[in-house]
Amino acid sequence: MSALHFDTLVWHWPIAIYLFLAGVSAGAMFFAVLLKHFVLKQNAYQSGFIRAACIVAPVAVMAGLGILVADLTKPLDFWKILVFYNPKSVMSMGVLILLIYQVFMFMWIGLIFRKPVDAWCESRFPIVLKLTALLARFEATITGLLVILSLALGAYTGFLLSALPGYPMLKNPVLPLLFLASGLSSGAASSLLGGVLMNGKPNDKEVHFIHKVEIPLILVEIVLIFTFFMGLVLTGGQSKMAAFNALGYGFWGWIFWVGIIGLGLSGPLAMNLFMTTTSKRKWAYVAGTACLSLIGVLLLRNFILYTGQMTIA
Amino acid sequence: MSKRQWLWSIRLGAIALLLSFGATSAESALQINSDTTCMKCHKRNGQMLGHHGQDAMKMTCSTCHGEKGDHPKKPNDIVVFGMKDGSELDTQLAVCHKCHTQRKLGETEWTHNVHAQKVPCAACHKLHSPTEPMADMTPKVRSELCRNCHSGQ
Amino acid sequence: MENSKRRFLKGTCALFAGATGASLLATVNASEGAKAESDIKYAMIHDETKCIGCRACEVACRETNQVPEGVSRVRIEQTGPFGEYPNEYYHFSRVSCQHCEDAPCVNVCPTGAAFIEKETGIVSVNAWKCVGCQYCIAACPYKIRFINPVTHAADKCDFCRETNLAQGKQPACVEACPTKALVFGNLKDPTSELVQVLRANPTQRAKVALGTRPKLFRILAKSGEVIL
Repeated sequence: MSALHFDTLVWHWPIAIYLFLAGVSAGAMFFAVLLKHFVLKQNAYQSGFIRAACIVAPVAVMAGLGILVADLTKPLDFWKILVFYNPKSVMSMGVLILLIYQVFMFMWIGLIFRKPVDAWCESRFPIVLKLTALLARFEATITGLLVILSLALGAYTGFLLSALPGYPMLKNPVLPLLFLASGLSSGAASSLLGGVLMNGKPNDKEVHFIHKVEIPLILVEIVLIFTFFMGLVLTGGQSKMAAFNALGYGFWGWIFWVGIIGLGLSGPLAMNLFMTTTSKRKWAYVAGTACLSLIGVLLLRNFILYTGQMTIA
Repeated sequence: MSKRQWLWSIRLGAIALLLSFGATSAESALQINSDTTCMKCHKRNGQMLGHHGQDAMKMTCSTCHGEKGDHPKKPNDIVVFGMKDGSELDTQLAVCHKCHTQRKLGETEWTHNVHAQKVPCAACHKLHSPTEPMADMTPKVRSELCRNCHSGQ
Repeated sequence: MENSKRRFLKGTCALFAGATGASLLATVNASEGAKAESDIKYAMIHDETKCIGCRACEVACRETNQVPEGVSRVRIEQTGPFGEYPNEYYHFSRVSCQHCEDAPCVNVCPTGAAFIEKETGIVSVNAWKCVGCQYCIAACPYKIRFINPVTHAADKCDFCRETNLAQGKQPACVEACPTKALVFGNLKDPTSELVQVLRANPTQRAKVALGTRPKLFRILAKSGEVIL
């Protein structure tokens, strides 16, 4: 049995990438809403970090869906998922959430950029102004639902795997919470990375705000990972076997301890703790922390997906 | 499995090659079939065309069937292989076990283990025919073979 | 602002309550509907004391259901040898769909391509509806599902629902078994051979702890083995 090919493996890395991208999108939208409401208020569209989030979120979710469709054995039949629904299926409900999420995501992005959009369309397509005005009337509702949908999307990436009764490690109630927390932090990281790449100032108040939220988020992630594996060990039987198979040794053991716990969680946590909220931030520092977070989350998705399928009930 | 099939195809290929050399004459060119004592009577029902008849194996009729003794008078000590009208089971098995150890047989094919000392080898294996019926069986032929004995329990 | 927030909260709460209520109602209705179901529920017994490992079932299934080489709907798993020469023996167990009452594959299928036939209780696949997401393959605790390389859809044993059963015959594996180690029949018919055999023998089902309620029963081989 090798680390990347084994008999009980059904879902390969494309699924992990899809879960990662969906989480990034949900997290980016979540933090964009937070930034607008708690930090920037008006003229949020001028912030490089908001702009980055508004680019990252749609691109990530579309790319994720693209990967998902390409990974089907019948990619051209993907429309059947959109036509036939099964209320008992997590995947089916997830697709529904994804679709509604995208609608609200685009509406919210439209509202954020209302000023420049209106200015540009005023003489060319005056009808667009009516549309944005209509959207603006429901701004509170759109924002609220977008927050709920992004949280739902983040949790869905975990529920998708925890609905598999044949794999004791994945059939775990902590998994959706873990994926939600790590999805949010990956969204924050991608906004930061995109923001500084798009000429956002690494010492802006947005960065301070995100970093302030990130510390408790990483702590929560660590607690969730601990609970995840403690739960498995204490459940005993194949669940315990699954936990030991995953963490104990070999390729995935290294990925977990060095890649996820070391680089992905401890790295950003240490950097955030050492860098107090008042001190000045440098470009390389912000981008570096964000990259570490993103790598950590991507590795976590792959680690859970692969090791989860190694042990069967 | 594939190694075994490969070996079999080599063996059968070798036999086919040998046979094709002998195809011009009616008789097989194999040394074993020039044993005039036996072939005087058994030219029709005794031609040895199978794997065990290869010259390289240096086998004669008596290697398996035993010395002529009183044969064709009865009773005699000739070993006859077969499920129904063969010699005693132990006698038949002893001949094959001279070369084939039970351990190796079991390793090559699990059915040897469950039939050990219960049926003669000739219940399934045919040594005289140019092709061994047990080699390269399709799953269907194989399950039919089981059915021949194991049905209507 | 404060007002709109409150309205929004109220609205979403109502929405959630409504959605939960509706879905709860739907599940309750579904379980009630299940009570008024038909009087056929097919099941199968594999009598391991009779199985000789000839794999005639595998061959027959492949022929009848046109299962391509490389994949299989039914497989005989062999363990052994146990015991001492010349009385060595093997154990054979059937690996195929268990036709769970609460089938994980059916629960996870996003399009409803995996379904339980109401009239017979057979877990089946609508190959046309299947998009090949392989969620069912991952969900099945018995690991018996596969992607059919010809149709590219998920595939598995359906008790020959579309072939032999449709022609009024027994499933191909049952017909082919030389030792009558396979018994197929209606669980709800007390006179059926299946029910008779179930009543006369202690049987086991695989992984019942998962709550799947499988309908493939096994009569364990008589001779045991030392396994820890």
